[in-house]
Amino acid sequence: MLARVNNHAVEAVELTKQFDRFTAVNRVSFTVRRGEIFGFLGPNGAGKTTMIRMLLGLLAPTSGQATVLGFDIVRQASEIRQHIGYMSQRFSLYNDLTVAENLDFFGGIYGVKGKRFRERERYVLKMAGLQGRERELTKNLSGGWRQRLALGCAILHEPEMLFLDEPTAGVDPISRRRFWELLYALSEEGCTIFVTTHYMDEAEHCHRLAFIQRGRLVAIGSPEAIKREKMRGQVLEIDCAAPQQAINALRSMNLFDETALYGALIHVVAEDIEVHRARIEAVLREAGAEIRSMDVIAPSLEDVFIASVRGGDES
Amino acid sequence: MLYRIWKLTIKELIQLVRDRLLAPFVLLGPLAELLLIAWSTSQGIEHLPTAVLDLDRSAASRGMIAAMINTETFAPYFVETLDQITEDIHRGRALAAWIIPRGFEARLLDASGDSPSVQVILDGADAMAAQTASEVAKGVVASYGQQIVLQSALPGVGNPVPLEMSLRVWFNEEMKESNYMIPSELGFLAAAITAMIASMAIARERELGTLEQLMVTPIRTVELVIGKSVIAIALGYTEFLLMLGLVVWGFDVPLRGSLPLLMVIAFLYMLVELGWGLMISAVARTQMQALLVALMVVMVMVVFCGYAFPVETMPPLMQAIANIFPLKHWMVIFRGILLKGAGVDVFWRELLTIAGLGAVIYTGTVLLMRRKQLE
Repeated sequence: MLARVNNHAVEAVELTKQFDRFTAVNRVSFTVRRGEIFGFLGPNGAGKTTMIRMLLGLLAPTSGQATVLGFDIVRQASEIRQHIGYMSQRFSLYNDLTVAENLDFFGGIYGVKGKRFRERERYVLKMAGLQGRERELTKNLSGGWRQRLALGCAILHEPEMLFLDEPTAGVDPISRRRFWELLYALSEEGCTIFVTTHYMDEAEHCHRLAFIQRGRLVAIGSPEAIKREKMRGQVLEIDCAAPQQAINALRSMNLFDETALYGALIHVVAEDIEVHRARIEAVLREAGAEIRSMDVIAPSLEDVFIASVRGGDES
Repeated sequence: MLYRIWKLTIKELIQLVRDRLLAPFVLLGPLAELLLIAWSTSQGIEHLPTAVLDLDRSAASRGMIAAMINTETFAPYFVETLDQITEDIHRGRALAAWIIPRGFEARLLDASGDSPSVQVILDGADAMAAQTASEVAKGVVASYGQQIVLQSALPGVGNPVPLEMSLRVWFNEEMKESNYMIPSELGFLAAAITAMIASMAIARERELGTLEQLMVTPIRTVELVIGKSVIAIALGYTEFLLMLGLVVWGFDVPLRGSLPLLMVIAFLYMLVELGWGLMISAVARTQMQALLVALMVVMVMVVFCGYAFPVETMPPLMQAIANIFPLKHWMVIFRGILLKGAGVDVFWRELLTIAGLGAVIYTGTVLLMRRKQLE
């Protein structure tokens, strides 16, 4: 058994990945502590999947180092594999196998056999809600069930850490919530979870977050800390009629850091937003958008993210 | 390690059984093809429609024609003019023609004058039939002690052939085409099946996205390769044995050499063919890609290795290139054991070559896979 050099779940130092002239991950450093749910947040193409693949030993970094569970990702990649579970972005169980056959296969690959396997299989089936459906072909399961099965296959061997790459993509909101409840339960049992996502509301569920944009680390910390540090200005939430016209009118004022549509609501962001309240009311009245409510609200992560991404763009 | 290979093999088996398209194709396809070839060639070259122009109408000419009929190679019908012969051959109504000139008998009996000649025309478009037929014709005429001039119906191909007095065909006395074609077919099929299945095996995982999942598990590259190969080899080898049985018992192809020796060498040969199938698998991104590339390689191999045309008739450069294909050496060994009862002392050179090629191929495969993993 090779020795572990540290007790962090992940420690990355100046990790970089370059493809020809395109830099996918640019000198990213961060630490993931044991037992926490760590979120990697960013738009598509930001480098999230590249990062996960490097940590898992599927891709060699161009420069920089990292350890997962104390093992070096380049030199001790095979050590890491026994202790982690992985759910890829694309569904990667065998569609032509039944639920039980998939569990049997992955259990066997991880060396989970006999009595221990039967116990784990029972646990996983219960967790996924698939009891009684063992003989169904995997391809006949719908989205949410498949994700839970994939999660089940990843935890059969009771790994110390889970890597999930956009695990709830394309899954309905109720299944998503159920999925996160499972993740919480696992985290409480001591499993470290590294998850990438671009769903902001999911990001709120993480203990700590890292924002990635264009391969660079833009912010890191707990959701509250990030909101506190990174949010410039306040958010005014406006509920009015004819939101589209309202938005155009507000944008032409050229006063605000951000003017965005959130469903049927409008978020306007600026420092000291109260100062502009009167003028906003005037502009909206002129545009024929009857105001139903207008309140300063606590910024959501989405507001923060867009603000810091904007900031990143400008700098 | 063995446990993981076992799990992988089971999974492959389940997937194969559930694949309703692939399984029957793999099992029945080669058998069907073999049956077709065997049936169509087991007749030998017989009863070629032959246009006969007897301008002599003598006892001698009739005797010659009777001798021709006796060979069963030619099925004569009579025509009146040369033009008819030309037309019939061009139309494909006749595949051969015999012309016995006027004065044939007279010249035959006159020992002091010119020797009589008979003209035999063969449709060279079917080279194999023409070759066989020409040998038979020579044999017939030889018994008459005449000098004959052979011409092929295709322009530019014909050249006068000296009379061979003693013609004896070795090892394939009946000159049964099947004894030549069927071993070729078997050898080719055995190679093709194993390689094609293998080439798709890993490509399928890559195409479905499950390969990435596998690479993150403790499974090692070697274990993955072995797990995939077990099924491919099992299928290919079973096919080979089935086809061998069919051919030896159903179509009377002789098995003059040692059966155990054949079985061992066949297995080793298949391992080698499996090797390049795996090499394709390592780089192909989809199953279709893998299958098409494998098919292409098989086609090339088949041309180079004397399956359709004898190696000796190809230009020297092509003959040299043919040596890199294990199939060529396997054919020699296979035919040797079947038809000549040959042992290792005869074909040890080919055996070593196959082993050497196998080593090269597998080294290449492993290197390729390692390079593909960490880019």
